[in-house]
Amino acid sequence: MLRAALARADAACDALYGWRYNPLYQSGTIAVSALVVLLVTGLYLLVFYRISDPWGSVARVSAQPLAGRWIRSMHRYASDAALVAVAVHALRMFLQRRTWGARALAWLSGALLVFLFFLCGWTGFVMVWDGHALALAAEGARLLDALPLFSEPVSRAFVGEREMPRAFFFLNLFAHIALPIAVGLALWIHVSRVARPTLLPPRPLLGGFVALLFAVALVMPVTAAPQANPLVLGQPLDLDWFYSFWLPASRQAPVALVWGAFLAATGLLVVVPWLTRPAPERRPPPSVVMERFCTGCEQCYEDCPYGAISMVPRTDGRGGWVARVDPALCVSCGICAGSCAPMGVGPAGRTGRDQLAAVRAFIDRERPRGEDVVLVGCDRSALALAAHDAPVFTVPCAGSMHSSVVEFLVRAGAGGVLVVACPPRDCWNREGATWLEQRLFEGREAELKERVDRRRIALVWAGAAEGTVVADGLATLRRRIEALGDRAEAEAPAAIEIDLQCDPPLVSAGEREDR
Amino acid sequence: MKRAVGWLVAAVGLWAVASLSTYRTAVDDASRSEFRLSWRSDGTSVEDCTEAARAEQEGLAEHMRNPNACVARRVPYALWVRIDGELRLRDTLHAPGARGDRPLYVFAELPVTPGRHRVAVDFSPVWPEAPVPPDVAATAPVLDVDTTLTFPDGRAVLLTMDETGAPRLRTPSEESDPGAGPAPGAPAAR
Repeated sequence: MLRAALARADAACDALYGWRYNPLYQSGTIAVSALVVLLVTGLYLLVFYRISDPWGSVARVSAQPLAGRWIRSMHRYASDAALVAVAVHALRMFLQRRTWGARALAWLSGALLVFLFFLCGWTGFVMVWDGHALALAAEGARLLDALPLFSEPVSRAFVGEREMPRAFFFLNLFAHIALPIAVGLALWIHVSRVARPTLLPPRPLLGGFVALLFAVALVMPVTAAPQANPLVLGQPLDLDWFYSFWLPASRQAPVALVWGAFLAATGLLVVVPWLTRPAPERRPPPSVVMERFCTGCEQCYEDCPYGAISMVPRTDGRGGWVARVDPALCVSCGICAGSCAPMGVGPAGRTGRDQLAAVRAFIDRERPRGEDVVLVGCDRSALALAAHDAPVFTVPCAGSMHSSVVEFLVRAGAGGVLVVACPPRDCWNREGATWLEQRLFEGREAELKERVDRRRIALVWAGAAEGTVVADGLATLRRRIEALGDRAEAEAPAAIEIDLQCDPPLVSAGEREDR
Repeated sequence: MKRAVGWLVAAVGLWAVASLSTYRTAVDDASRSEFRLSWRSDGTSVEDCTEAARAEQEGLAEHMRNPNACVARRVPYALWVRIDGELRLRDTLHAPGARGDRPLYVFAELPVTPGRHRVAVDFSPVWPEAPVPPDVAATAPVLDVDTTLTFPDGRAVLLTMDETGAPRLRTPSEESDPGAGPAPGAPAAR
């Protein structure tokens, strides 16, 4: 249900912004953009902050009509936007089951990032030293006092017994500056297992995000709330509901319950990789390299979105290099199966050769005629939800589809092939959809052969709830095929030996006979 | 048209974020009042001395011989709080720390109904049964307050002990109201 709701939201945003600038697809990069805004605006605020007069210095910055006012507001709103973006990003990854196996490190470091975000936000709010700051500090002290760490309660610092020591504000400022460094380190770990990580959104989206933040900061500047006074009870707080949503409930709850809720939430986040991991018998296997087909071209090594493939010297006496898959890093996305021209790599049962065997069976079963368009796509794309009056050939991921599948369909008699892939920014296997487009139309290695009539091939990006995009693409391709008129005779499936033609010359005649 | 709607939706989204970012909320009941007690005290110590046996002394090097080994022990304190004659808090405070050698502290927050109340607080040592040297008994810090206080709506009254051991009351005056000037919890001036 949640996945369907997300798909509908994706479709709505695709309609408004196009998939390139869909903020839901770009949630991770928007969070990083917000961090950059926080860093830049934070440097300005740091110049004016005084630990000897925290509330006064922030109030003076807020009163600066030209810069301080909107810079502080941007700082505040960017921190909230970062948290919203992180929440969307985490929800996407969870619903797409991109949380276990080799991706567990990214999930766990993401959970650490969320914790650091909250801690950083907490120290940032305390810096202001208004009522909200005091409530956060006092609640934090109450929670700390439940632990056997200090010989006397930290809470005594916030009851008004004495003036707040400057050391407290210095430590808080230090933490607020040091925590972003930890955020940077955690972010580095977060993306360490992906190749070519994308950290910032496309420029138009980045510019639009910053411009809107600026506009909202101008229209709704953050004003200085009353100064913290520990002897005033029930003071209305300018609460930030993103960072302090828990505060009203926490203040009323017993400490043990608050700690219990925190530990339970943390524990749940931490065990997600194990909870979402399929049972061993249903776990997709990692890719393997069939060394006799590997020409050492390095394309799978280039294309692997997770850096799981390395090139190592051959040991079979043929010289040169051979691809090697690290099973610990492989997420079984199968992108390598689509990128290997001689079809020598991929997860068991999903290599290019396996795909050709499946498409042979499909042709025998469906027998498409000259005017038929065959839909090809994964069960996560729009093909999953919409019913179409065309034969459907399903692949595990359109990005892992070998271009020979398309060639086979056309040569075996299909009038055309419409490939349906997830929008590139939403590809569950990161770069699969991008590589697919380049293989079909831009000559990327393992390309669709010249002999295939490109006019009979089309590719549409459509999320799970974008059935209309597929229907439109189908109608367009049908019109195009109709305009082409007669087509060449279909070849007998048994006579189409693309896999044999793809065999590298290094394969000996004896080996060929064996096959 | 679609682009304009896109911008509008994004702007509304960020407006929602900004609105929830500074949403004024009362998280506490502003009509209650509170009596707070918070101070730290070195308290007082008594020494437990033991005379070492002659044989034990002779077993030690000459420079290590100490016929009278004394260990200082912090005296526990009793804390009583009565409001309008009702006993609201009664506690025996022991010095914290693994070796029980840290200063004593008092920290309590007692809810009271706003208005005038008679408040009596007694913080005094619980002497051991053994006789206590008169100078120790005379210099031990003691806090004994019996007075009538006004507890305003939405305000806390704090009883503390200053460096000299004298009781001190802190109430939020009009001057220390939020935004109007330095508050008791404000940082120390430079």
